[in-house]
Amino acid sequence: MKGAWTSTWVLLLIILTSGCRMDVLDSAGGVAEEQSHLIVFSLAVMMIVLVTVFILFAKFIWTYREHSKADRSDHTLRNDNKKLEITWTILPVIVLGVLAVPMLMQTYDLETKADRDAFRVNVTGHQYWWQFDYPDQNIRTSQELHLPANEDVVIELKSSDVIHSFWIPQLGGKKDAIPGETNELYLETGDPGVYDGKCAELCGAAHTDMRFQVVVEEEEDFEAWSEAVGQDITPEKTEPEEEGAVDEGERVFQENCLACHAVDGADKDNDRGPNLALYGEQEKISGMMANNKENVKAWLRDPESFKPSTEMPAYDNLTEEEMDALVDYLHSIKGNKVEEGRD
Amino acid sequence: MNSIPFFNTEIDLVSDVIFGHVSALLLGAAAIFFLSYKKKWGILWDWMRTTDHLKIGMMYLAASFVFFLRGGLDAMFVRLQLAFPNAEFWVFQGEKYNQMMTTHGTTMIFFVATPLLIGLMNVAVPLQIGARDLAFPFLNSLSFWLFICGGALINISYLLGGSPEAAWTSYSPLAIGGYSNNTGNNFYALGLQVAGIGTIMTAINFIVTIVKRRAPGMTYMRMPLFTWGSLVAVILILLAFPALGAAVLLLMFDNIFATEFFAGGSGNPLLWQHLFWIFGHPEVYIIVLPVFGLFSDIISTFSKKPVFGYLSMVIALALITFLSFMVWVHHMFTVGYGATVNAIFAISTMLIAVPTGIKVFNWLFTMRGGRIRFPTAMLFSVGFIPTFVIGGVTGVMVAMVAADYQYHDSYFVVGHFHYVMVGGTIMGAFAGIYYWMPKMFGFLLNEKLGNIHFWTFLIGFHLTFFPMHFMGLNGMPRRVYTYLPEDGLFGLNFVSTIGAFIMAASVLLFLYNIWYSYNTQPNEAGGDPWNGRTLEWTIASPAPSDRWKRLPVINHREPLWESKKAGKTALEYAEHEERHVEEHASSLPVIISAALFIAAFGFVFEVFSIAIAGLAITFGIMIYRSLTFDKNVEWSGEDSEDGQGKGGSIHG
Repeated sequence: MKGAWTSTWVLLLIILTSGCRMDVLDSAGGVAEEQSHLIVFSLAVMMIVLVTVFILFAKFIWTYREHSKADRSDHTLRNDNKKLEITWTILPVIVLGVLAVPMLMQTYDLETKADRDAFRVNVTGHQYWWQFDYPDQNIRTSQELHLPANEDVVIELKSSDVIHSFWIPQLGGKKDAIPGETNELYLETGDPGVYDGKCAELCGAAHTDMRFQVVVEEEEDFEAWSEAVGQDITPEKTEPEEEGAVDEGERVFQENCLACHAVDGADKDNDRGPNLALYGEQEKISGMMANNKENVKAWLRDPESFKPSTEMPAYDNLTEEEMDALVDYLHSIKGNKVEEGRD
Repeated sequence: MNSIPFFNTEIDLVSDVIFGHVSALLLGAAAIFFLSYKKKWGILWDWMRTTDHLKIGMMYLAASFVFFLRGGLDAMFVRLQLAFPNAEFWVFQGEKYNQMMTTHGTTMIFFVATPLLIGLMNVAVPLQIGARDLAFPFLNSLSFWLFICGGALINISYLLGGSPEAAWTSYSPLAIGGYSNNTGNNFYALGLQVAGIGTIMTAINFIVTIVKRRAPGMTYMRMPLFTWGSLVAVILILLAFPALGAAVLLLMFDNIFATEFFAGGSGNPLLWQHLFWIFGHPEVYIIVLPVFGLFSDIISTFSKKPVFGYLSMVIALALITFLSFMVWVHHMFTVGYGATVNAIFAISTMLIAVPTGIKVFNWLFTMRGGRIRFPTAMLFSVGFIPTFVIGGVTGVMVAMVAADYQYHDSYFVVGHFHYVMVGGTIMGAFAGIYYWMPKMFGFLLNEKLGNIHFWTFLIGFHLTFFPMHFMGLNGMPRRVYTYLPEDGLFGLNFVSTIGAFIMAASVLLFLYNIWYSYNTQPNEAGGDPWNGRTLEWTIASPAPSDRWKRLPVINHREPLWESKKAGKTALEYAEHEERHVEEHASSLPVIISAALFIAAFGFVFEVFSIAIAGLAITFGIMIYRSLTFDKNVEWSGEDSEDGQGKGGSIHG
């Protein structure tokens, strides 16, 4: 019996420790780090409890199996023992007290920090994408959240439809975006890096695919980025120019995409779909797959296969040439294009 | 896409739905063929009309096991879809995955865990307290058929326009206003409403039975702990299920009559969460407290020792019951209430660990100094202890609010509650079935197969659910239908899927064991096969239909054990038979439930003429039953002619 137990656990440990990554404990900012300390601390305390129980369990089962010769005279007739019972009532209370103190400190700490003057981003959850507004920079982006490094950040959370939950495991715990309410989540960024963001509350068919990327970058990189995002380069919402008059890709975009998507962060009227500001620089499509030509084309032809029940229609009516031109146009939306555009 | 119009929705003719219809037809045809070929229709009709607690208990167990297989099949689809990154198993991505995962959760909680325990309570509680039957046998039958009716509604939803897909918690606004499949949400609201009414009746029935129908001399402090666990659980049901009833009623109004109780903006989505979790957290204890009691009885029996610290066991049960109503907001730690609210609920949640810890230590010290045998019932009880302790410590971890911001809605939580619910309720139900099998059928289950069943289940269980904690710590949210190759979740998920297959095989082995034992085991388990200590082991196996002709007189907490110690062959019985009310079999519970099924069907598809007709039949029968109650009951017992006449007030 004990053998089977042990072998199961050993097997489990071997499998689990091989190539194991744990984002929650691999923190990239102050809040996540404190939370990971609390997790490790509580796990350690709980291991003491677990080991105590397991030892008693194994010992009693082995010693008092039916045909063992153990001396039972002490125990057989005893079915209560005040001292023991008081011990295992008081000790857990003490253990819980030890856990409660750092927990309370951290919980209140997070709350008070959220009121502080910090870098602010207003996040709106939509089925199934995230919109990021930077009130101080007066810009809007989506799907890729840029944050300055080593900064206190307050995320203001709203939702336009159902409940979502905003979670960046390596930067800290989550908070819900609830329609009709506003929540604030306090985080701290650390050194530059790229992290995964997720939606943690079931929000519909493509809940799984409601991912985003978080780019934490040095202050000056962030400022350059926000300036590039803020340049107005979205085509006018007029009738598309005649063929050949403008770039073919831009024409296709104007005709098919402009009703829902803006391509710069200054345009805030156009929010039915994600803002595509600096799309050419984004590493991933929707935080899910490499942003290359093949993937973008596949996405445009059948968005449902990547995000079930998405509002975006399939563009399988475009010719191969139009599709190529469109993707080239999308990929040309970069910081340097913006530079060119300014001349 | 081909589809057939069906009332206000459409049935899509796609492979999985066709598969569902074909298998439902085949199973139905097979059942009809079997019943006709073996000429069992009469017996089936007898069972459907019975008001006998033992038969109803066995039907509860059988029906919940059928639902267990359905919920388990859903779980297998879920695990297959999650076995590989970016997998596309059959149709189970997006909406269909959400339907599977929702049906799995809803079925397992409402139509497996809860009724499995109600089934065990039906089988054992009257035998443990020396009652001839429950206080209200007719009501008991009605409860059962309402549960069947609710379960049927949830189960047919997949075939008739789509299952609910907003998860078993059915959070609004996702569950209202067209954000997800409306037919499914109606099935959810109506199915739970109907089954919930039955569950509340069960609670009243058991409270009255345990309070009023105990054998002479059985004080509260002499009740077996399973009866104690059942008593506190049914009190919880009585207090908690009405909140669910109110919640799903409002949900139904939001969906059918376009009210906006739970809508974002005009209504309040958090109101749903409060109503749901005021029910939902006590529900966790509803399905685990009877099991706590059951394990106490089993561990004591097979350690050949009275349970350690009986009084503190009872106090711990009462404390858990009390505290379980003060912790519901820990399911809502991330909705944005302030630190103070979260801190209060975190502390109250952590406090539950204290009475739970008392119980664990009492179980351990019950074994100390005993002579421990390990038949399958005991193996499940012993296997439960470390499993449940793991679930308990992760429970304390998720209660720690600042850390919970990380665990919340991640696979860590999924791992935690499966440890508690499968490790507690399901293992407890298995233990209970092995333990009380002779009381139901007269034979014992095969121990060799039972052993294999236990070990495969335990290993499969830990392989399935242990890796989930690490998935959560690696950032895998709940209720996702896939993950990316670069997420580093493949190994963990693959192991989990392997474990799920082992568990599935183990459950099938259990079914085989029942069939095998039915054919091979001698029908002579005898009244007391386990060297028992409590009252249920003093009567024959299977328990005869005229159990307790004369009520036993109880002078001790373990009456059977005491009489064994004193060398007596039988208990002390009352001098003469007591009068009691016997209720005849009745077809009314089946008809009422069928009428409510029709009403629910009408509401689901928003055909109000059907709904009103169903309700009219229901109320009509209730009036008829009230006016003709006397004809269905009979006084029995020696001194039935003492002037009160037949059909007087129910004996208390």
